Amino acid sequence: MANLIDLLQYPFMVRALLGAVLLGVVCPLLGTLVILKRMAFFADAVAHFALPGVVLALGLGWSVGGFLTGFCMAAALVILWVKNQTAQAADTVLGVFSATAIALGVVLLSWLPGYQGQVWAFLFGDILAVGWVDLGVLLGLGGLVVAFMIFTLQAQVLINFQPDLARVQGFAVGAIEIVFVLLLAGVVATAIKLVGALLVTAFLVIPAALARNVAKSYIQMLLIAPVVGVVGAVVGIVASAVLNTPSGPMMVLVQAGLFLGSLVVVRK
Amino acid sequence: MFVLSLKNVTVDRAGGPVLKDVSFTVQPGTLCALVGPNGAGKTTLLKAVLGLVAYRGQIRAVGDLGYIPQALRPTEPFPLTVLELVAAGCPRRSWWWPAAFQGASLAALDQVGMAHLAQRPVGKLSGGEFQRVLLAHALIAERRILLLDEPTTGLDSTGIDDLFELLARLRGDGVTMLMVCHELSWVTRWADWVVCLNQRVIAQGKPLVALSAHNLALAYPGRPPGGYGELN
Repeated sequence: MANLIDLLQYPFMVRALLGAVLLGVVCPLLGTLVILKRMAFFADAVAHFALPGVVLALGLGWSVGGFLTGFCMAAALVILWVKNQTAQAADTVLGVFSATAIALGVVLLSWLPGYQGQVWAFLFGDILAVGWVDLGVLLGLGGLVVAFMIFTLQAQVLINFQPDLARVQGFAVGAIEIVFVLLLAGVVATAIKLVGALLVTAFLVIPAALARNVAKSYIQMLLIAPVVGVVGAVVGIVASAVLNTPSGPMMVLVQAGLFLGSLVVVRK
Repeated sequence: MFVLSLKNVTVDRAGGPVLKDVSFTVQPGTLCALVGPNGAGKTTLLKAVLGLVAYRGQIRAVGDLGYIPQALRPTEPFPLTVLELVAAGCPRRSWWWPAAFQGASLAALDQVGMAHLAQRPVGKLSGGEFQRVLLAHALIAERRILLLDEPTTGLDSTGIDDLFELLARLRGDGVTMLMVCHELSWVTRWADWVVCLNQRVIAQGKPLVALSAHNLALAYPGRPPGGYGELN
């Protein structure tokens, strides 16, 4: 315990914990929609575009953060459009895009001179390096996500259940879907810096999947998911500090442990 | 007098027309059955009426339309209660919709005999219970014209009987229904008007007239004589 209190004397640790709490709320909230829409691999495909996005930003000499967000949003819109235009199964289309993104990133990387350590930082993330600006961006995005959830919740019930019912009710289904994927891409691009492109999907999917396991209603699922996200992230980051292990993977491992526990406790 | 009128409605797809020059009217407070083989354009016609697909021709509806889609009961864990689903159908909007519209939802569920299952997850309903919940979802919006797409799918004969009895009660309350249905013997017993469709209107009229052996042979080409079950 004394060690933990000592750790909180360091500003980077305070920022990391704040980042973990914000991530723990924002990602699972959006994640509830991700899993009900069966879009886990969509988020994963968008995350894969972080590699070419980071490499392009470095090559062009632009700010990585802002460029990456725009790049991921553009990629998300293209993936959504192609997914809606083709008769191919969604996972096939997403598989094509994921592999293409990685291949593009590696080819672009080969053209950059010298060693590019920043690229690997984005692949694996580092929540201990999070700055106040990053936290501000995450807080702003979190506000947008909460507002989106509040204003579209009634519509989302119908969209996830039977989209035509939502259309007949007069909900702007297409516009809601576009705003959703833009927010998803924005959150993914921002969260990548904290937990890495390879693990960001876990933050969206695992707490929401646990919530779906135990919830008896839609509202319960929405309330449980962020609680699981925050508990998993905070316990994970503290455990990583105590055990001297990487923080992003520790947070994911704690969340995965909670998820497995829920499978044992709740058998459907 | 009509509440729903279609005049020369045509729906085109890439491979050719799905519907050609379809015209008929639906009278208020009646149950109109839309029958025809798979691929006849029945669901497309409902979607055209709802404005979900593009069409040529004229469609006029006097009143708001409710829709009961050809929806299969969710089998995977979908944490959505009956009350949450029905309340989401309320034409008013609220971010805390299950609580805000609880009274109206329970009243709609009561109309279809499902108020006692308000807190049950939708995925744990039987096929018949699920269809009743979808009806309540349309009723909470006070829709007086209901478009039902194969509501008898997955129901046994008792379930179909129960559903038609409920639809007859709604008809008695003045609700108008246009229903896609494959159960011809039930259609004969319960429908007021039948439109026999196979891309175009093959026949329409009172059930026994529209569903004559001659019309059925035209609507269901290739089906063996006597292949319409107890109807013939």
